[in-house]
Amino acid sequence: MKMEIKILLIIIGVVFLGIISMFNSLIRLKNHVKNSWSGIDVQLKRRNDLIPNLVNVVKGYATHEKETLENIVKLRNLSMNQTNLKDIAKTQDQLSSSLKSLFAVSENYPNLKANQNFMELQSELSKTENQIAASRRIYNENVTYFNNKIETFPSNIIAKMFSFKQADFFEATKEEKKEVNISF
Amino acid sequence: MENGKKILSNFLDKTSLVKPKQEDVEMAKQSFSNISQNNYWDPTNFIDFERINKNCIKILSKLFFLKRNPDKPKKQISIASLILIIGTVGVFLLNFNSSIKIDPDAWLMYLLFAIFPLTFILIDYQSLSKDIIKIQVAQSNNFLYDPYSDYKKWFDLSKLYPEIFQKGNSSQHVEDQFWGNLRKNNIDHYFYSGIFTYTIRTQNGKNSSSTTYNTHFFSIKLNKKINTRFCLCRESIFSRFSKKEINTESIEFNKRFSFLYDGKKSEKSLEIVKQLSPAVQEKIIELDKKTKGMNILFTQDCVIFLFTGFLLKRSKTNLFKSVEINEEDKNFITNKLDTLIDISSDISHYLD
Repeated sequence: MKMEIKILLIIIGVVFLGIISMFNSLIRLKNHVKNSWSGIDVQLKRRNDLIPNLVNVVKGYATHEKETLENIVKLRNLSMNQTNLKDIAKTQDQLSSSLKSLFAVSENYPNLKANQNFMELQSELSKTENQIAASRRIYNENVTYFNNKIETFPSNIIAKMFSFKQADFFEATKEEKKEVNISF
Repeated sequence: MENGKKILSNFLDKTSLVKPKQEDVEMAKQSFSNISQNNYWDPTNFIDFERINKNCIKILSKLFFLKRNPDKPKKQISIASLILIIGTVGVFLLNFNSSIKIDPDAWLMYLLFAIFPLTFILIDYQSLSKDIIKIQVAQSNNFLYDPYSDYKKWFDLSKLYPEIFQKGNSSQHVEDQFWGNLRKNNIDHYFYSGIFTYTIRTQNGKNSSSTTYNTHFFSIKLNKKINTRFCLCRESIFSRFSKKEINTESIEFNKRFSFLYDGKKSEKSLEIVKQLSPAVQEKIIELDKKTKGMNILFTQDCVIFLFTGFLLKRSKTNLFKSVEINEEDKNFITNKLDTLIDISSDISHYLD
């Protein structure tokens, strides 16, 4: 075999290995994004499971907060049926704000504040809220890694070849964020 | 071996340049408030209060002695400097006098002898100032502090946590130990911290070499028991081949750490990932960024962090200028401990 052919074969081999490595790296990142989304999903489900208990406890003490409670239940049910990432983010932001407001108004009800169940639920929900926030940051960080890989050379060529699409960030748009304005 | 270490420790104590009088000891005893034995936690379940009392009073009595004799360090360093100057001038004069022929090695020895007192004084006062700073930090926060080397404690810790403390083959000990607690979110967080020093001696034929490592460990008692035991190590090229890899959902976390554990990956990974919830991962990354590298051991009832280096590397306190502790040094240690307590208690809070 001629020397030139050998060199050509080596170059083709190296390029081929490079393509495989970049493709695998893109797949790994994509899976990480999926995996981190499931992390958010687990925490959101956990919060959705806690909300009915909270509503039941508050109902007995804070009769004047019917509207707030209805709003929380409505948002919870809405979030369970959504599939679009931006819609979920928007609803989750609204739900977080509503829960914060509920905990704020609970200060006006000393009996509720002293209720052991309420205290435990409040602590559990605030812990879950923090976990959601952390999962969200991890997810968005992973999306940044993935999107950067898709946009930067030379992996952008492989991404185009195999139709990798940019992942969406888990955040509400600026306009949607402005909409989160719940008054009591 | 143990006797040898005790002899060395006694020797260093006896050769210390600050020798307090009985009245200094009495003043130290008065200023050192009685320590309550209930408010502290130690992973070995044993705190030698008597030893801590004795050691702290020893350091504090030196401080009272220096307060009564503020010029003592200045005098000592002046004499040592004079010895060095006379020694250096002497060597030069002998060098120019061609009639006296001295071996170059002998000159070097002569210079070393001349420089020895100054070095000894600087090291002794630097070490004393660091101990005083730490005692004051401990007193103002209601912590316990033991400055001196503790070989028995290392032995006990190495049995309990070999992943962290079974390192080196010589001179392993712990020193600069702190015990304390901090109330956060209505929960008491108990911690135990110290410096773990070990030496690795290697013998290659006739050549032998030894390297000493100083690591700062910080352990926090968990308020609930976790079912798994694993170690998080700084990710390196070598660790990729030696550790049983587990991936969490965070790319950043996976880039920074690898796992070390007993048992099969299929059995352990689920339990480990369950403990490392997103909030825990975030806090660990935050701490890693602040400390530039660490290892963490998660055990049933506590989490132990291991960092390279000392709690306080260089102090700004200068006992030769005045017998006052530099506030920056105190704040440095306080802030470092505060950050560790803060982040580790958060980690403990979010463990499942």
